Amino acid sequence: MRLLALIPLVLCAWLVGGCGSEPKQVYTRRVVTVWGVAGEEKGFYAAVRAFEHSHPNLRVRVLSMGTGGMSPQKLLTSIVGRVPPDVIYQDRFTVSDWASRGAFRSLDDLVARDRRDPLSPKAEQYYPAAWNEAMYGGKVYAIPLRVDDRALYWNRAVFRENAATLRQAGLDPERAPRTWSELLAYGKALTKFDASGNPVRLGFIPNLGNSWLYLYAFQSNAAFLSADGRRCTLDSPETEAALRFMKDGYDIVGGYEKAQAFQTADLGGEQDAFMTGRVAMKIDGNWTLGSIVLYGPRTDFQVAPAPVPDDRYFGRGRFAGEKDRFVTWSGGFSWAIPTGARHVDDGWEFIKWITSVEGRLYQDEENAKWQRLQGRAFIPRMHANVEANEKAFRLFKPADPKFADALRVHMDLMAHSRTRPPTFAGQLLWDEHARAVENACSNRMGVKEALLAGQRVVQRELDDSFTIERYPEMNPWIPWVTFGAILVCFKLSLYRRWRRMRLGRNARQEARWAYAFITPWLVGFGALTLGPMLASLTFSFTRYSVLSPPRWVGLSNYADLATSDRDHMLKALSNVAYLGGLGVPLGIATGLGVALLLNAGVRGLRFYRTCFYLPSIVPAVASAVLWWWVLAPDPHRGLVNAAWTATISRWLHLEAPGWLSAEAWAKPALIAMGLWGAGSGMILWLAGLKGIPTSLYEAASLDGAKPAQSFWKITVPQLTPIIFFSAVMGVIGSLQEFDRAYVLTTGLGFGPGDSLLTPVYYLFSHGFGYFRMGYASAIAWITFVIILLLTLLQFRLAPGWVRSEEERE
Amino acid sequence: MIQTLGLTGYWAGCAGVALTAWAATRLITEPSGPARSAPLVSLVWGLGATGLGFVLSQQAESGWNAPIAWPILPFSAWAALASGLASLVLVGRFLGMADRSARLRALRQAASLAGIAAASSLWFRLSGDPVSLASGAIPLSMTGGLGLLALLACSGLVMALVVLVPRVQATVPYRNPEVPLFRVQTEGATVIAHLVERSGGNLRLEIERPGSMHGTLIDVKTSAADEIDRQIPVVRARLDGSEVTGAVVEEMKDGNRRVRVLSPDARRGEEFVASPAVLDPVRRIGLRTENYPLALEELPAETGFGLLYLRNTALLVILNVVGTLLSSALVAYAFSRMRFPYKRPLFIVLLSTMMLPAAVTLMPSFLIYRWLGWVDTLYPLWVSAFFGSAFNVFLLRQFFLSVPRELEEAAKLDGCSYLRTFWRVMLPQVKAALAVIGIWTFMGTWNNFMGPLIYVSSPENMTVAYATQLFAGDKVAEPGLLMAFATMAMAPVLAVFFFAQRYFLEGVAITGLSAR
Repeated sequence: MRLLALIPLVLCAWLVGGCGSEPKQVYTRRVVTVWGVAGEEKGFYAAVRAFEHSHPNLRVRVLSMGTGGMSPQKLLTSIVGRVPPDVIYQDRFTVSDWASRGAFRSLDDLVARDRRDPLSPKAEQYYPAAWNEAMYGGKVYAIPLRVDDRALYWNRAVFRENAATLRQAGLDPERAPRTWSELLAYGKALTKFDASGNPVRLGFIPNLGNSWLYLYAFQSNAAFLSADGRRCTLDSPETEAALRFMKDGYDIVGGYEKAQAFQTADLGGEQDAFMTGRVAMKIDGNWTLGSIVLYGPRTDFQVAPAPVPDDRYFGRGRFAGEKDRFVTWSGGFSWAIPTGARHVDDGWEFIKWITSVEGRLYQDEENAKWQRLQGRAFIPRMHANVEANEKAFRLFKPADPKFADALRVHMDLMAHSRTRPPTFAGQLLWDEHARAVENACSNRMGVKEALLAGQRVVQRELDDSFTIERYPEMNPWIPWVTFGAILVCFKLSLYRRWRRMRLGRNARQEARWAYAFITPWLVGFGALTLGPMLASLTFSFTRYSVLSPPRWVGLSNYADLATSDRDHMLKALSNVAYLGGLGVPLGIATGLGVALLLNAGVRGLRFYRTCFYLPSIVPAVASAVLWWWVLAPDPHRGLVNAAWTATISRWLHLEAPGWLSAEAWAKPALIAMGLWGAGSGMILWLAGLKGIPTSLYEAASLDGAKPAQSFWKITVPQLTPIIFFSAVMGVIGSLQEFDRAYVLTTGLGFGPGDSLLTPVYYLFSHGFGYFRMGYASAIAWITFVIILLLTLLQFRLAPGWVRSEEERE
Repeated sequence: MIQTLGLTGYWAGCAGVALTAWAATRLITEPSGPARSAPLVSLVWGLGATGLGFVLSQQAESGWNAPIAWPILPFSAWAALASGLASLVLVGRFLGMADRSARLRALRQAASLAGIAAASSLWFRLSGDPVSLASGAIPLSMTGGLGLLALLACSGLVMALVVLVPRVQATVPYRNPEVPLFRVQTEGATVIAHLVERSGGNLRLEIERPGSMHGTLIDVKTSAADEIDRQIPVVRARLDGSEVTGAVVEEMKDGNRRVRVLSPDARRGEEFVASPAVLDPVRRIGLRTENYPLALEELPAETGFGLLYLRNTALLVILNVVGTLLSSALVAYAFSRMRFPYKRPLFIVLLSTMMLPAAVTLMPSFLIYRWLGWVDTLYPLWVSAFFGSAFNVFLLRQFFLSVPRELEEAAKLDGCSYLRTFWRVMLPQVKAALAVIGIWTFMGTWNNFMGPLIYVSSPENMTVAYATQLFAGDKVAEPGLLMAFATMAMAPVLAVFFFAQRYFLEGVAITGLSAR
């Protein structure tokens, strides 16, 4: 115990000593800050060191700034706050979203200036698709680093095993399908279910791997926007044909939900569904080669161009005279310089080096070395720079011809590649297209209807943005003036009330002391909280992209919420009503139950308490992974469903729930996860139980009360203030449910059938995904009012059941 | 009759538990794949038998008693049961064996296990009333409940292990004469590096570990470098139609491996080149403990293997806990026990600060802190704690409300000032609540990720939680490293909770109340 007492002393010494002895590092070299780099290989860091070596006056600081990429909140605040990084690594399709709002600096002048520099990027060295994707309004905003494209992966071993079946269906087991109808036929022939209807092997899932609707739509010659970018053509007949094909594909494998359950459980790695032959074909990008060589090098697979519409393949119908027989879709990351970056020239130097042929090959070389050291084979990723791509292929061609051929197919496909249209509404278009696919494939809507619904949303955004000029710019002083006025009003009325109340000496003294006591909060509220709250209230009456000045639109945000977006808002509210209505009482009961158990005088209590507290301190990233392992719907992966299929399914023939991939089960899963963290509430209940005088129990037991009686007659009434607290906080918390839903859906969509859509999630995607902070503020304020009303109601009802010493005045 | 049925049920339940345990062990040791289905079925049967026993045994004893007893049978009873069963299994195997030496070995093992069984049952007999224990007559108690929960937790762990049997690659030490590996001291750090070229008395080396310095070239004197073994992986392959075990001595540039045969002895030392696709890595069940040092090594060297993060976090935790406790208690006291104009509206305003989603106030708050010049410092992460947070004020208010008024009035009669009443009389009454807030603030600060993400950009101001998130972002491909890092980030909190809970959960005496 004495040792324990020493700990604080040592800690203080360390903190203070550490602060004193370590002077702020003074950099004599300029620092180039690089953000957004996540999951990069060792070669990138080696290239950074080489850059520092050749530029002795520069130092590069690389950070990812978010999980798995750049957090939009961080980038947005830093650009608005004028403290952005010098260089940012950004997914190319979002470049136009940011560039159109003036967040990125145009690189044209730098490209033109360094025309003669051999390192400098030039448009003609790049695949046109990649280069053009990073342009907006005719200007270059980013330099593409890598490209990826999609092709068909087919498992030859599975084809060979089922040669007889395939031949029976009139299909050649020695080659991959080339057209959509062939693909469906192969998929159908190779799909197999067991007796209870669970998939043993699926032939082809349209969106396993990475194809989305985009690939099929590009194959069908659809564009998502008109050439001038003013009209959304998500509902064009071409797109419709593509979506119909996807729907057919899903119908073959037993419907969208089944396929989704199968797919979301696929954790990849050694258990990857394609490598283990549980899926015969998939469409995926070239990056997947890296994971095949790592986890399933023996997979007998081949890569072929993704099958296209029959008419395109045979060059007839509306595809007559088409020059590309096959079409792919490509994307990738690129380097940009945000507006307001302090060291533009240094950042540019860095971009030049990292995107030059030399710099790229240097990275590949170092990557290859590192992989060798780890005992892994190296598959080069594709460069957006054509020359570097060819050179890298020659230098680092995999020894295994299977992989070399696959890579070659991907590289050759780059000549027939399409990209997403550059628009300021790129993120919205993406989200809406994904929603349309889900709605149509799961038969919630017709194909045409689903596309039209998405088209309307995007079109409204396009129209609004092109007519934004008709709204007046808002005077930035409005929030500040309101803020000042409110403070003055409060002060004045306080003073008047003070005078009017004619308090006695004692009462006046008490009030003075009370104000002195709440001063910390009053100061903090006035200085740090009130301002932002009023600002957001003001923004809710504006169109505000954060990156440009707000424009006053009056009540139109609220009107939109009540009319065109009413369904979403109602869905979000009903979701949180479900979550709160079930989750809050269950949470209270669990926490209290555990606390009652742990309040007993049992040996090893400290250990048990720590065990129960453990879940609430597991970092969110780790617990998300854990929950995937537990709740994955596929019985071969998920713990719960493994037990379920082995027991309940077998005895009672009840199908295992789809958990996070099924509309009906996503919310219960979320509630169950919440209960797992009940340990955090447990300590509150323990504290409450400690506060109950033991004399009450003694008196009760003398009167012959049973334990259950004393629980209901003593424990519960004594705990009502805390039950009240938990109920109020539970309501507030569940209406603001966001983090867990966001982590579980990994920020992609709002869960199956919007089942995890919550008001805060909804406003988050508007505020930070579509740059509509005004609209987000309006949602926030509606949520605010609802919470406030519910809380007031609870306070109104409280005197009826909450035991309080105050009421005895 | 009913009694017999009940007792039979009890033992059926015991057999069920044993079957479950056996199936779980099989599942753990079995490789993944279809071979698992058999033990899985046994597991189901075992659970079923347990359930049946549970139902039947209720006929024998009144109510819930019997099943509760199983998980908390004394250790000796379990040992007796397990070793007895194991010895029976071995005897059964012995009967089916043909090989003489194997039979002998099995017999010896069975005998020793039977001995253990006998010893443990004796101990079990001596240690208490075995009859009531064996029939499960232990009343439902807290101990029983906790034991049952512990069993549940353990079975969860077993389930997790079934899915994730940890296996590590077997390795052998090897020295490559052409590319020797050295351990060298450089710039105060010990690094492991391989030879690039020799010139005179100097060596040019390329660093392999720590990961954060990988690829850096250094020049050292030959005398300063210590040659060490490289651990190379053991693989199995087919060579000319027969199975051989070998070690990978070289990862070749074209992706193929050069393998040197280790066994059979006749071919020992032979070398061959093969593609990784035909090499079967030899792995054994075990824990990959090197994930921990490897995860730390991935952190930039200037953070002192994460100590810098730890220091920042500790600083924030202390400031936040102190600030929150002081300010929230003051404000809560005023709101619960004092009368002043605008008390109710102000309290509603206080609560309402929690009701507006933080996403929309993020940007204006950021601008305020930027105006103060606090971006990329730790200030935004702790200053607000000293202004009281609505959540904690509300919680403390609820606790203050349940403190009897008499205490305060007595203090007032004694002439205590408000501050003194608050400090001396009221605060001690809500110690337990203060402890809860302390823990929550501690955990909240420790795990806060969003705050540092928005306000901090320099590595020297980062916190542990932030580093964990960044780590997750950077090392997505290596879940082992991520989990190791997360565990390390969590361990200090867990330790604090474990050791300090007695001070805040048990040491809280309710003074002044018990006399009522």
